[in-house]
Amino acid sequence: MEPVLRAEGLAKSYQMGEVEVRALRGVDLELGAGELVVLLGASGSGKSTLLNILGGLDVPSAGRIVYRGCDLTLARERARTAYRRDHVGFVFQFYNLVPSLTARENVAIVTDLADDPLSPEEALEIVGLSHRLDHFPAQMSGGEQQRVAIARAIAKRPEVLLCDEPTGALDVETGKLVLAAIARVNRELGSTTVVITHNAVIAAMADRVLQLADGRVTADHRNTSKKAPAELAW
Amino acid sequence: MRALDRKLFRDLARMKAQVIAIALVVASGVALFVATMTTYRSLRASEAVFYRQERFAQVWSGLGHAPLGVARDLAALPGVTAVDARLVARAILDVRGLDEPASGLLVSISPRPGHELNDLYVRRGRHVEPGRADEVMVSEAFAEKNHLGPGDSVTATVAGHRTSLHVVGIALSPEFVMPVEPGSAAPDDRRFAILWIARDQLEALLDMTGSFNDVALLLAPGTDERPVIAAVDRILAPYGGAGAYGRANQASHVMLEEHIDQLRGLTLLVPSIFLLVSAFLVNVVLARLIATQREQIGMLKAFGYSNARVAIHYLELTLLIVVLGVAVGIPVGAWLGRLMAVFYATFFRFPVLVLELEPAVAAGGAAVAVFAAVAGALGTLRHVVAMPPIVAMTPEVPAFRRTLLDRAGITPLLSTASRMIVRNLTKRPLRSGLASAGMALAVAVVVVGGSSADGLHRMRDVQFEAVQREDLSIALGHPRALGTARELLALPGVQRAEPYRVVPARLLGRGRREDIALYGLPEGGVLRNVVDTNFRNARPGAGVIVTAWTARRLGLVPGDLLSIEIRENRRRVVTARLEATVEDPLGEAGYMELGALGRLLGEPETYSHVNLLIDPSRAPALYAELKQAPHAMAIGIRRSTLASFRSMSDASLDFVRTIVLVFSVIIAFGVVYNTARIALAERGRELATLRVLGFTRGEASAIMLGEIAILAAPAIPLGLALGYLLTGAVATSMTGSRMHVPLIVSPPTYAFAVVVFVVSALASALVVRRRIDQLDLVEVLKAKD
Repeated sequence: MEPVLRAEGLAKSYQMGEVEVRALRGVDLELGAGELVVLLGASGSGKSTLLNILGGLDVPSAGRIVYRGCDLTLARERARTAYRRDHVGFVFQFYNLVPSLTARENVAIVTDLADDPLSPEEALEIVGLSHRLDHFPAQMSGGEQQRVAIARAIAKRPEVLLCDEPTGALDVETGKLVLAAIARVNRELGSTTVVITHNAVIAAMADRVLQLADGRVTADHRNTSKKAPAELAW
Repeated sequence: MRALDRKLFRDLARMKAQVIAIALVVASGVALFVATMTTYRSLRASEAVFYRQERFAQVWSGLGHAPLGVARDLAALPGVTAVDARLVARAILDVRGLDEPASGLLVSISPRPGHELNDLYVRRGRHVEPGRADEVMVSEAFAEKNHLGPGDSVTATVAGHRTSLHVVGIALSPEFVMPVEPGSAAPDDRRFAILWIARDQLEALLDMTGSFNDVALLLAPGTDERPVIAAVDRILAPYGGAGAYGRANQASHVMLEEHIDQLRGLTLLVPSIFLLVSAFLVNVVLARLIATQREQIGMLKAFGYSNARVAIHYLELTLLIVVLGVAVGIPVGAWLGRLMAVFYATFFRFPVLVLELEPAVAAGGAAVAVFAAVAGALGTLRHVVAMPPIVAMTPEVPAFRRTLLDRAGITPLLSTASRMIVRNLTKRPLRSGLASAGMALAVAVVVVGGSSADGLHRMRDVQFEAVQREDLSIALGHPRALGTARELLALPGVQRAEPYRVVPARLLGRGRREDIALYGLPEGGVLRNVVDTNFRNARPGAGVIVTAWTARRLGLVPGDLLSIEIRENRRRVVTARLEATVEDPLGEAGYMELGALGRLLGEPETYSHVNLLIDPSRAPALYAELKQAPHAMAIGIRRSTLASFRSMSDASLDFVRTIVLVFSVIIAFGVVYNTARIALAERGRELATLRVLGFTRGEASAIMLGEIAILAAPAIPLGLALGYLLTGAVATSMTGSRMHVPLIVSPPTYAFAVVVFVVSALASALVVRRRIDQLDLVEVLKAKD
């Protein structure tokens, strides 16, 4: 089966003052449709850089990244924006909601751009926030805000859902609720989902676990049995 | 250098575009303030020195004629230190190279240099010498315009006699800094000359040996001129005294004061407004700039820096920006001030220029800028520094709630992007209001800069296109019978001749008095009109129409009975009814119907002046004839006076106006740019998030630019209105005793202000747009809100 995303020899280095930082040193990777992948790594392992390149936010210094046969490395800024807009959902550690918009409107800001989106209400229903539609971010807890962010990410029915430390700013119980929402989206919409985290416990909910260290994939294995997020404990 | 100091300079370097924009606004305000204060003070000082060095007289009077012995009575008056009992005469001049007849004022002097009062400053050639026939010195402006120098000669018709006068010197006099021909609305240097001639020569020409018809007096310092004026009037009354007056009514002095007053309007009020505007803007901008530093302040406090140290750090940042502006503004201002002072001293032909670069002026300008900036910074700092570090480090999450717009069901009608814009603007109404107000001030400043000449231009248009419609006006030596006016139609090219009467008069009312020219205008005449600043015509009848501000000063309203002292030949007081007032911009005048004035004077059917409409193709023939006309005392040519007025007012105003405009444009741009940049700094993260979510650059920019546009839109009408009000203040300050500058802002001025503002806004928008294009999308994901 054709993978959704394929990375070939991805390398990324950038200049930090006078030091050249080599964040990725040759990553080869294939992500299949509907896979739930957890990307584990310590800070500085290059996992965020990898995620940014997968999401079309950044371009590699070397190597290729191909989305459904289309080489993103060659794409111009406009095409990468279109790629993000049409195919990618992002969830960030710090939610990045627009404070002046309600939960419903924060989702609508994406559905307004999409071709065949879920309605904002449906998306918020999936993350269990039907009762918070007209609340502003400042009126919601961190977990609720993160779930709005997930609803915003999935409302366009993205092929790829990228989550950067989605539970990083949350307590355990809230974190589990958020992970459950991600798992449900992955199951019901079939989005290829990548969750990056330094919390190894979370790996148990994945179809596949990638280890990243020093800019290289050091391990890649499939879970034979997945745990439900509610069963996780850290 | 300590780490905090290093941070200071790094921060400055990082914000360099904004720092430069703020510093430029400060520099503009300070530079204009320093430059114009320097100019104004230098001109005042130069005027004073010129007057003192040349012993400018303090009291004058014209009279019929009196024996020289009377001058001894004048010299004996308490406080009088010198008396010049002289002869003056009007002349028609024939100058080589000048087609039109020119007018001259012959003034008798002692044939030796070093006069006791109204001494002459000889620029070229020499003083007239005793015993040399027909020698004259000529006023410099006329000599320059007509390329006259020592060795040339002019032909003059004086009291009906034609005589050739030899120019031996070119001179300046404090009495004639701005030589204005009596009865003319403006100086016409090309066509009006002062000729100084030895007393015995003029005595012979006028056949007035041993007598005088004009007198100037110098007073001891500190002498009150009023009792002297009264005494002079009394002494000269039997000799046809035309009324003594002080410097406040001396034609050249009045005109000079008018010009300096106009400059004062531009040079004191406008820069003060600019300085205050730039101070306000710097205040607003710095307050917001520091608000964007809130997390860093929290961080510094968390490390253990004291509140005071943190506050000082940010005050240093503020001060460095302002000091940068001041450091640029003061030298630029001083340089411009010197340039302007030299320009105006040359324009007024002051023989000496006293440059006054006062440190106090510079310090004052700097103090206003620094105070405003520090006040703006402190306002925010007090608030931020008072927060516990952890609160300050947590970014301010604006707590949006449902607003009236949501409840009223208005927001659902808007697109999501529009909702963001509307909620952001209404969330902080004060901040939005201040941003709009700042931009409105930017518009207003350009309106003020641009409108400075509008009132003057309107005044000129009223005077030379509506009030005066003649081609030529002739002043006669003596009033003549009305029937003779028809003879003028026989002159070559004359198509229409309208006789009128002018008589010097003094209006008396409520314990005050105003000297005016009282006009008798013929019924059905079209060449001389009574017109207000809005081009509305009034037609005088049996009563008197008086300039509105003269009436106001005397406390008179239409319907009142006026006491008018006729100050020609036999002095007497007559009464007439005040029929109406007219907002006449130039001069102090009264108007009646010609017949009514004749009856009032007891001299019916006479005229003293005549207005002519001519066939331009036959002008040369007419001019040639008029150069020899025995009855004419002076000839005015409207087009020539208008051209002179235009070139003078253009020269004197355009220079400072251009400078004011340049600064106003800089201020406008600085404000709009900073408003946009700070808005972007506050919202950068949100925009980057939208970009990550798939918003195109255009879509993300539209939100930011839409917000700026909504703030900018009300700034335009508001700024135009504010500009109009400020222009009113400037017009008031430019109004002297003789000239009332109407409050006019022309459509092109408004249009220019709007264009400057819109261009500034578009340019700023482009910068913001580029910044949004360059937003670091990866960075924003890492940072916490």
